[in-house]
Amino acid sequence: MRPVLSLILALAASPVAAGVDDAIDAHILPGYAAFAQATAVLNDAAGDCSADALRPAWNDAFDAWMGVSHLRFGPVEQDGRSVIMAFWPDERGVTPRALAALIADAGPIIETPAGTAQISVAARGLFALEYLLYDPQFAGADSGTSAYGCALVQALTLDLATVAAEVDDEWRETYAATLRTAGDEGNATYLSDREATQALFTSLLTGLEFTADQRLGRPMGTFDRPRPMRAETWRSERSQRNVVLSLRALSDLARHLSDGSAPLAEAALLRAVGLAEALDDPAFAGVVDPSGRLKVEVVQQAVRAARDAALAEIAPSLGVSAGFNSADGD
Amino acid sequence: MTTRRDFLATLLAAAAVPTLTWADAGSPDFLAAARAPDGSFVLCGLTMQGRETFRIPLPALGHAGASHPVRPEAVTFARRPGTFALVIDCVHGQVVRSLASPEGKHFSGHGTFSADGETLFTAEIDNATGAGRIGLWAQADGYRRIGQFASGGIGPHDILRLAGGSLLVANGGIVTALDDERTQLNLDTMRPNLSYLATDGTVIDQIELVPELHCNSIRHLAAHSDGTVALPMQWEGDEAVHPPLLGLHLRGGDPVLCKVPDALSPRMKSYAGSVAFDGNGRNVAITCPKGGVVTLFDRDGRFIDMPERADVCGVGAAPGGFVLTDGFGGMMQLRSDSLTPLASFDLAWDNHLISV
Repeated sequence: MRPVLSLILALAASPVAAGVDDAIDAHILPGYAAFAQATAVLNDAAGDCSADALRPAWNDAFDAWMGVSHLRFGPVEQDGRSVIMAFWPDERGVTPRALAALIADAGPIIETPAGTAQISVAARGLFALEYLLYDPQFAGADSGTSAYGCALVQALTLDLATVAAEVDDEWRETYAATLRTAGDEGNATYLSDREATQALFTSLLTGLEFTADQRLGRPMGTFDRPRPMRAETWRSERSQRNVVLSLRALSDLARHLSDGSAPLAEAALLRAVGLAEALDDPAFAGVVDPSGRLKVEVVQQAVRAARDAALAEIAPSLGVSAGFNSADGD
Repeated sequence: MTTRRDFLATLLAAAAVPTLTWADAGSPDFLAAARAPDGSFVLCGLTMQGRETFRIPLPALGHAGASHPVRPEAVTFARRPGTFALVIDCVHGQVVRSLASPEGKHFSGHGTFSADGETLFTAEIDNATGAGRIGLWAQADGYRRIGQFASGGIGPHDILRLAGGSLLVANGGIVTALDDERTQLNLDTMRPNLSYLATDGTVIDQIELVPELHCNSIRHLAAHSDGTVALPMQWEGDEAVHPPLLGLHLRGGDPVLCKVPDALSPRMKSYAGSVAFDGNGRNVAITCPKGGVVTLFDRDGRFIDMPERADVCGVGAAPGGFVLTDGFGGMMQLRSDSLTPLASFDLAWDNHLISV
């Protein structure tokens, strides 16, 4: 049996590079370009730093982030950029404290981009901006009464757009080629075709796990103690939307990777997307009562089922796996 | 002056006991367990340059192990539940003996030999209570069990022989149920420690972390020639908290906790898998397989860099740097300014590189 199985795996392994190319061209590069564009628009909009004017552009930028937030390798991880752009979960409430400290001091550090890059990562990026645009504690930007609050919003949108543009540039200029030439002589990052496929498949798996465990799991808390204020972006009431958009992005990645050869996994992903869309609980505030919590739990189970289906169906067809060591600690 | 009788006696002894050395096993620098593509398991000898010196089939996945200081002989432990260990003749590729853990206890997966190679020390855990024991086995007597003493804590994992001959044990602090999920039973109350033990079991010194880090399980160990010990950790507390994952300890002082820049620390996924000092003793590296990164510090604990490598876990010393292995078959060389490939294997390397 074994030689036959090896032969099947060897044959199945040949379209791997096609899946990687496809994912780069139709998923990764457009995703980062859209995010860079959306953060640039947000930065332009910050000229008028009233919250009402900025919220739509901030939401567009967050939508675009959901299209790429599962890609956790390469340029977005260089120098901690993913954390700089999206500091969450923030279990200890570091972001509001860091922002409050900055505002209390009215420190001149934010007057230059280099200075802004020196402030606490918790006070940078999409989640810091959410506080400034939505949280009553930081009304300064909204009322226009605080010049410093306005300057801070402008500094943070510029900082975000700068980092997003760096990631987009590096992907287009160098990293896409690094991933495409996996296994070539001189490629010190990916020693084989399979490693490139593996990087994308790992993004799919960990993206599904993050949505199940963090985006859905954190507000669910335990049955006896649901934690709605642990939901991602509950202040802007887009927690449910994040789940929907991230699942759509993950379905898109799965489709490009498997090239239509994973009907069960695709169906499981579609089901999870459908259940997430059908929820009527934008900030997951409904988890406080048992029936509301159950509805969120049903989505979580569907996401976990999709993760299992991807592992069972997509992984073997691509000749990849969950990491040997990362999946089985000791 | 050598008499004829002495000369003959020496000759006879040499003929009767042909002394094989690690050179006969291809002079590997490291041993590593792995999973082969057909699902079987092997133990390999590897050089620092990425050459495979031998590949021996194992009946089950091995975990860490111990290499004999002189003889080309390795002890590998079953990964889990860890009730047996195998003594392997690395020249002939044969399992020469199987050691069973004592009734009611299991092996942690790590062991070490005394400097003279006469005694094997194994870290063992009581199935019911998690209490740690160090088992003693006489190599020359067919690995006969000759004694045991307390490990100094709950849930011991790695064990290391220090330069002076004493032992160092990472008591991870966790009581684990022996079910399929390895349910952890005491995360609220766990208190890991680092125990320095004499070879008769006397506790020489014991170090605990500060109380707010009581959920940081000390799992693995490496020692610098100057006596500094590196202790990588695995965080069992809230996932949103990113504590230091490496401590450095020199006896007589408090452990130094090695900080990582805020923007980078989440990348390690609160989990360090292995640790080593480099060949020059200048830097220390921890591998983070869940995060797919290696975190490099200088020997005072200052952060240097965090290069990316998926599923990286095994790490060992090489001249001027480190050798790394990963679950996708890669073997890389890490220096303070570069990560470069050495070789690629059709194997999934297990967590550890065991130095020979």
